[in-house]
Amino acid sequence: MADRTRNYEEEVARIEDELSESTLYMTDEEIVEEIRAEGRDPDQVNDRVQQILRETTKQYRQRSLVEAQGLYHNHVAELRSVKGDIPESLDEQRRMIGDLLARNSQFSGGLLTTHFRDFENLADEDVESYLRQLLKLTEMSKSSDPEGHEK
Amino acid sequence: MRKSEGTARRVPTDKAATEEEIIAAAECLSADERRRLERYARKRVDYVGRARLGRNWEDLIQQAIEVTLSGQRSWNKNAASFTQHLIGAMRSMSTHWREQFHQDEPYLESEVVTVALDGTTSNPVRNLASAAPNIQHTLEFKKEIERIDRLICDHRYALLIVNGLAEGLTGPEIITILEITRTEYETTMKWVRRKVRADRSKGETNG
Repeated sequence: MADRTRNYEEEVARIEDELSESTLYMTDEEIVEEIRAEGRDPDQVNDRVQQILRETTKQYRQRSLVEAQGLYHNHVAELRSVKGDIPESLDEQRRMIGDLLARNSQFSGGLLTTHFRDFENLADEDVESYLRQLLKLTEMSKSSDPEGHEK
Repeated sequence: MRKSEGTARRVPTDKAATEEEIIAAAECLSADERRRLERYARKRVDYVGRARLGRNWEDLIQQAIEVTLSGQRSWNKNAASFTQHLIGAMRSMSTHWREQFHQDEPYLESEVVTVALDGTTSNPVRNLASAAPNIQHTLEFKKEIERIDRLICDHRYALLIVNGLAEGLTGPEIITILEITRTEYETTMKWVRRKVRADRSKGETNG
């Protein structure tokens, strides 16, 4: 008959808890011996743990990459959705960048100057992307200005 | 016996290992370290008992790496080896699995029973495994305690140590009460472990 005042499950757990801690003061030889006594191959145990570690780190890296790709695609989609007509010719796109910088004095100071000052030397394939980023900044700047004035 | 491994969750950013360092450390573990992780993970899953809910020792190692990589549990590489860190993470997670399983039900059954328009009732509680030990479980755990007692009763300290643990005493408390050395305590616990494992293996072979 079980003693109702005792929680046997808890008692077993406390013993198992301390038995698990005994792993920490076993020697390497004792561990190998215990694995063998269970009918397992110590080399296979080593290989299996290595495999778990490798698979987990690989999956984690892949997940990080997928997340980064998602962020990149969102960023690209956001830039593509920027309002404003993008001229087709590169010359007109470059001119538009110049106009936007001239009309938005806040872009002429600080980091943005550094970022955009060499826009005339931009590679052709980068011009449209820069223009879109600039339009996005102009859009954000307008939305933060309640009267919508360009500064 | 539990040791402090310096694996606190809140590690200053400048001391926390980077993703690259974690991956490199995982790759550089020795065969002995990997086997120790396996042994520890298996024993922790034994400790978790029925709260494991289908999870095994491999899941425990996997989750220990995942929480480290994600920064949920940072590795302070100056304070602990990578093996010590993973052991700390496994200890903490397995304890959490057990506590989560045994925490009190937050709802009354009457609060979750629903009655549809056609009068049919739905009771999600009936689909859940109860966290409270029923009579059958109680008897199984009682048998387990009796089995362990029987296996170790001839040892000078083993029965006293195990009974002390069952009552909730810690290792250091038992050492003080029994006036034994830490080495005697550890040697006895390893002996208990061997006896229990050997008996379980025998049971598995016979059963």
